[in-house]
Amino acid sequence: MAAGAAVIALTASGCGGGSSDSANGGTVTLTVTTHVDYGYRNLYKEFEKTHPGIKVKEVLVEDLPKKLVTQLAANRGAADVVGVGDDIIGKFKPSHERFLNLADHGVNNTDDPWVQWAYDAGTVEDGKFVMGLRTDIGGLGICYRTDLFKKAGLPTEPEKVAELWPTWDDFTATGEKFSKKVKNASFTANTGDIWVGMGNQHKETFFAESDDSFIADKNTELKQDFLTAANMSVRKVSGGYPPFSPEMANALKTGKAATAVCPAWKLDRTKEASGPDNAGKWSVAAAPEGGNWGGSYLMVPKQTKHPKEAVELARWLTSSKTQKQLFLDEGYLSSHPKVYNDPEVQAKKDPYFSNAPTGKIFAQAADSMEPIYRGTKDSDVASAFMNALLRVEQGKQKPEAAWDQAIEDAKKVAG
Amino acid sequence: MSVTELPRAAEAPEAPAARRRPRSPWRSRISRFDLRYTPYLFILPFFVIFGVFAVYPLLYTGWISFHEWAIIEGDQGWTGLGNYQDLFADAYFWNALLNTGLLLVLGTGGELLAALWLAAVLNRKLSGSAFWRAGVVLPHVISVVAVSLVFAQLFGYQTGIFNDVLELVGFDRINWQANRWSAIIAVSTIIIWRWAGYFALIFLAAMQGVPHELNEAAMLDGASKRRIFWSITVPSIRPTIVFCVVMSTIIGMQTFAEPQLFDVQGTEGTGGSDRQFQTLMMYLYEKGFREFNAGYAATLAWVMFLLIAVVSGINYALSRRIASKD
Repeated sequence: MAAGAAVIALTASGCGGGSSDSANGGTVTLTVTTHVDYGYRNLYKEFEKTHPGIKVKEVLVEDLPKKLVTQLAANRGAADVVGVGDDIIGKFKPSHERFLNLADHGVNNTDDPWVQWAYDAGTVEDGKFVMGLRTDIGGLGICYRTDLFKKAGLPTEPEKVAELWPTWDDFTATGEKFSKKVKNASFTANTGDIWVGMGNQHKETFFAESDDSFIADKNTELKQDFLTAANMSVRKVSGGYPPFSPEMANALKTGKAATAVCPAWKLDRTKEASGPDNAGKWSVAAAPEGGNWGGSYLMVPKQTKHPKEAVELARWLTSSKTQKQLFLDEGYLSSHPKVYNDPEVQAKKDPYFSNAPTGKIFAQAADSMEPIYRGTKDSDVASAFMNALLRVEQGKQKPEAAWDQAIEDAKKVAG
Repeated sequence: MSVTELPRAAEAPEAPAARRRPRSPWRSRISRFDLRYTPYLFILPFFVIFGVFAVYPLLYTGWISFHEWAIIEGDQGWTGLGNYQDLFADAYFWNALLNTGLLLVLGTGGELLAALWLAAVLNRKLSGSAFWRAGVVLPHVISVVAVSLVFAQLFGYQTGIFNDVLELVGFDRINWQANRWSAIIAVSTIIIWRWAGYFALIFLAAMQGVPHELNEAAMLDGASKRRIFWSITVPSIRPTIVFCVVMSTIIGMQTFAEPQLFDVQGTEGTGGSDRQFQTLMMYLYEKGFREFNAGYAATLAWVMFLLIAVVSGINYALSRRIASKD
């Protein structure tokens, strides 16, 4: 009966769980928690080899932000290095004092620099306080089924395909052309993914950079994006397979959706969802209007017992040298211009995706990026808009009405 | 109650013995202390744990609810009843309350009726009865996450089996998540699936204690099986039914995992695109762990606590009445 009450009180009063590290016989054990697989497993071994006396243990925590807040509130239990997504880091910015200022530990963006926008989004206090170090970036691409494109009489070469859709409106138009020829498949999987991809193409989205105030209702660019995405449902260009759902995986596998929004880190998931039978049927092209979706930050909570070693690990994992290897081995796109402009990286092709030049496609998107401002309540209001798109997809509302309600819903949260 | 009676009852034979052979006052004091207070000592661990993990958090949650309170940064200032005022003016709260109520009627009500029926079936002489009895609790043993994920797929709009069947019979496919009625039915199905077997076993245990003579006498009088069930079996297990109704109400009021995982957006979801199936507990989770607004979540937790107490009380009274009819 008291469970509901107890949950809140336990977290607020500080009964976090789990200890993070133990020192025995001069060995320091560092714990790393990540919210998804960062592809680091093999890298830890290398780090341990080059840094004798340090052992690294990784724990994957699916609802990491929720656990992390309780650990920060309790001032115990957090890992030595924590990874959070770039869409959620804003929520931790008001509490940046709970993390080490990595600038005090020699981090800057001049030696081994990250792409500026990605570095900036991990800092507060006008860059004086470095909260997180950027891991990968997503870039933005569109995965597409060459067999279905052929059936619809569309080109199948990545460069030609990208020329079909310089803008999202062209993307919709292509979809309508596709739907006329192919009846048993939707042009794209869902509108939610497209919306998220678009949202990363503006300097400001829901909140103003100047004072963190809610501006979504005045942001005409954002509204335009929303209507464009929502109209893909109305025009039956989208199949309405919910993002990250088993239904979507099924649709990719059975060829029910011809395209899906693909940042670099999603290639692996697309591959996994579609299965080996579809090898060579997929390809990747640049997304309309460029952009970035995803990527993470490594942060070091102040409560760590091994600040020096933890910073060293975070720095090492996000360095250009490590990130290059990570791209070549696991396909995660580097946040260092030096890496994504590296000829070896640009030359990388993926056989599963019809040997599309993935390195080149994603690097283009990354270089054309503008820094994005993430408000402290960004992730709180995001669901209001995802719900609105869903309502249009479910046929419950027209795009304009859905937008109006989304603004009202978001205002309630934004205060 | 029984605890306070225990020492008195035990003391009675002690008195004459003391008269026969006078003991040292020290020893008798110890033994009197032992008899009087040891029972309390034995049950003390429960109350200590209960105090630390239930009473203290409960009171502390109440304290938090009178503040603006962020999970990480803690106290942001006293607001008195401000959070409560906001909550009662919050349309999402009433929406969640409605959904919780609907699920309570359909899901919890359904699960108890299904449990009663299952128990009646299992109470007959079946070959391999142990197998069937173990079988009905199986859904309860399986992780709720797995169950909900499987059901979410069965109820999938375009690829779900339920819709395939509907289409086969000639109906339209239903987007189960899209509307309140369809979502509540779907989530109730998951709840019934998960809990019916559990309560069936409790009912069954009680039914086995009902004397056969009663049934035989009724049968001789020409009562039908149905009549025997409702007029003899059910009234005979009344205390068990009351217990199960109260327990399932408490559980039902806190329904969380089934509807949350039924949402296509998982734990990021708000119970449907228009909060069609967001329950109170889901709203609490959204406020507390997505927005990190501990003050508001604590307020909701306390209101839920009171609501559960009231609804359980009503159901207690109702179930006593219904079961004692006839």
